[in-house]
Amino acid sequence: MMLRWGAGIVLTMLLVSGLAPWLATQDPQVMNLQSQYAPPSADHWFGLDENGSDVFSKVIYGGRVSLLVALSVVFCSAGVGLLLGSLAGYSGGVVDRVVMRLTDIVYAFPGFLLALALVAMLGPALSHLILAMCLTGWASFARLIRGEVLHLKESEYIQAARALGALPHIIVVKHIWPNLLGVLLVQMTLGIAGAIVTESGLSFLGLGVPPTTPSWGSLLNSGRHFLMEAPHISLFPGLAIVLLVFGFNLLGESMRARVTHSRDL
Amino acid sequence: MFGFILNRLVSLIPILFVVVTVVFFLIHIVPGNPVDIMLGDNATALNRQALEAQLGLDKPLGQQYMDYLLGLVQGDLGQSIYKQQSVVKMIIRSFPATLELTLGSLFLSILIGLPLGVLSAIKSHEKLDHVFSGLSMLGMSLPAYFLGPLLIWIFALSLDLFPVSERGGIGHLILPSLSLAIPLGSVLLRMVRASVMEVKSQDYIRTARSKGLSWKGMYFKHALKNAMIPILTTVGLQLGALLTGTVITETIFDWPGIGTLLFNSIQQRDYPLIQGCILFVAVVYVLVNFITDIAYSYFNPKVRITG
Repeated sequence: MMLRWGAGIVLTMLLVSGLAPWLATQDPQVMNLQSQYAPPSADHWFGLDENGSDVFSKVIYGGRVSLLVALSVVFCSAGVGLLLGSLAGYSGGVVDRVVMRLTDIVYAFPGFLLALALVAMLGPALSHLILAMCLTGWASFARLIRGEVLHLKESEYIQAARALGALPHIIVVKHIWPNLLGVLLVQMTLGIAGAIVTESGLSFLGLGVPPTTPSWGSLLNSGRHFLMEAPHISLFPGLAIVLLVFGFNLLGESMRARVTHSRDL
Repeated sequence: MFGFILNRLVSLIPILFVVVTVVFFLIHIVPGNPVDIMLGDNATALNRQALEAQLGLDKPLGQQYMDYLLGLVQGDLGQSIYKQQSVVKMIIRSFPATLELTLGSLFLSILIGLPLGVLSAIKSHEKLDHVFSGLSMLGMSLPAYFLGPLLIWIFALSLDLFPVSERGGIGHLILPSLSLAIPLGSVLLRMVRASVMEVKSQDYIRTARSKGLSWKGMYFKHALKNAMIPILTTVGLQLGALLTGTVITETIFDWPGIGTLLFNSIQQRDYPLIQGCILFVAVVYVLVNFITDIAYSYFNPKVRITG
């Protein structure tokens, strides 16, 4: 049930973001200067913002930005984490100690703060944002993967492969990685939820995407100065964030329940 | 235990070293010349030279780094460009407000998470448990920058129950704390439920139950006591997350803490102040996690052997 709801929300939001140019009722940059702050109506489903731009169109375009950043960050972090975690877990010894010490250091660093600092210094841009979030994001993946590899390394089928003379990198890629897919997907799904929260938070502070790009965070921030007159400017992008994050959390948690359950059997 | 703490203290050194070094390099990754950005186009060459000298940017990089480390040891983080005040003094002045907000949020999130988590475990797989499970999942997905404006709109502007912003009495503390406490309390609720459920199925609990222990005694005397270890860890890790989360919440509520100080310093491109705030929050974050780690191993001796 939870899995289906989570997957449904996520797929719908992915679809809406993908089809944004066709679904948008108006170019999000267009300003209707006669009717700023207009409340939701048949023409403008989510109303107009302080510049008279269509909030609905801005929200669905903003979803693309959030998803683009979150997916890039998670794929990049998971890739680096998978490589380093496998290397550490399978090699053991000095390599393991070096990689894990590095992971510990990165893990101890507050990720949100580092991303904030880097974007504050480099200036807001999609690439800066993604880079800054990846710099700390990989550590949790590396830890998880290392633990899993250490566990799998002792299993009989890996020992058999080793006894048959299979090369270490073949064992890791062909025999260990397929078995990591479940935990990796769970962590990635929950990671996307976290990345969306971070991205929107930084954009809310004006330290995420550039000001001209429509994003949920910056829309939410500009709307909060007009809460009394036009609460819809903040409300709809906020609800979009909550829905998408909730969807990914729901999907991730229900996948986790299945993965751990099937392992316990 | 002493050996363990010593071991952990030693591993703290490279972490703090990296934090300090990263913060040092922040001003050097600014594209172009930071002095030009700070002074704008109207600055004279003389002004530029003066500011460059004040920031020490005219010296070789190695010398700058040594000066920075030396200053740090003496508790000197330089001068704010705009206010011409000591960065350390400005941070010390702002910290009580941030601490108040952090502790207020932590208190509220425990108030939400602990009783509801235990209740959820008592009623496990019943209707109430499902409701809490759904609500906590939703609560986890509510970021403070949405909750903050939402709470202001409902409780401050529409119902006029609480002040909109700024620091003051307990009334001022409730909305900002709540905007941080709802997501964190939800995480805590799930953690508490899982921990109590785990303890509940242990053999010694079943033995105690079969010997006639009441369910109240079981939950509050045995289950909760043993569930405290993972709960404590979550609370400790949350404290770190709360601290960085206050940057957003403080700007929403005009709360005069480190978060607002940092946000304003970024707006004004006051680089020494930005560096000081980042360094301070990062070091406190690292130390809080360190203390959590020690507390965790104190309550769970198994970690001391393997860790």
